[in-house]
Amino acid sequence: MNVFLFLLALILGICAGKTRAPRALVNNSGKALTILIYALLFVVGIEVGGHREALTNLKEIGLQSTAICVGAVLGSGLFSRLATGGGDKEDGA
Amino acid sequence: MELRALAFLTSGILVGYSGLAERALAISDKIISWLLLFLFFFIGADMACKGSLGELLRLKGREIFLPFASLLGGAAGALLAGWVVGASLPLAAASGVGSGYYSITTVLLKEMADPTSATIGFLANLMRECLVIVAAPLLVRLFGKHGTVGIAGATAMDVALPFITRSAGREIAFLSFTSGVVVSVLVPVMVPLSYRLVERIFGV
Repeated sequence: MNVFLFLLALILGICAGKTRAPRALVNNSGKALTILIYALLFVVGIEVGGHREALTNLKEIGLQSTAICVGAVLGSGLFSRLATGGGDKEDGA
Repeated sequence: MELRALAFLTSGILVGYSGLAERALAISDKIISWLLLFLFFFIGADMACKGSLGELLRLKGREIFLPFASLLGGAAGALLAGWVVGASLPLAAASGVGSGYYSITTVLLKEMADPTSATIGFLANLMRECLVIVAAPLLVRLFGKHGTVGIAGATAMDVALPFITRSAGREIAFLSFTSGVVVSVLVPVMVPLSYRLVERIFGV
């Protein structure tokens, strides 16, 4: 499905939240989010388990996910440090 | 909360693997797309209610850049590492943008790509969250307080918050929470966008 459909849904949601139209719907958005995420994870799980090839090459999956994790950690750590002033000058302890 | 997310995913995998859900497998793509549409709607409604992005205005000085640096750095680092090990580049960038918010990232990667990509994105972001929990003191020494908050990404507002404050001091709590909130709001939008953007740029 198109990414723009998701953005459209997001914008519709923001409008619904701002206009305060159906109160009961919007007020429970946190609860709805939790339920939707759980349902989605369950269905995605079915897909992952059902497509057995997704689980066959565990070595490659492990390597790639570890590398991506390490890269993301180093990148966000360095960028965040630089963006906020290159370090904590008051970092005594 | 976190354990429950893991439990739902695992039980789904078991059901799928056992072959009990052959019929569900045939329509699961559609189910996921529709659930995602509703998910995005409620994310929007939630944002509007809580005014999450408004939290940004409460940060002072250069701290306002922190959530964006966290997202951008995560994407850049993951992209580079993904290229080194020969992973799909859009997958690597989107997983890096995931910022430890593994539930949403997993689901979105399934939608954008395939079950294998979803598994990789899930593991990469789960590891990122675990790393902050396990190694916060080390991360503070290596990257400083702000760097640690950036590494925690979306988890800086809840799961990782106590571990960050224990290692980096209580005064970082507010910044950590706020940065986590802003990153969490941006992740659902940025994961699909970064995936498509990298796909465009690198033509894969």
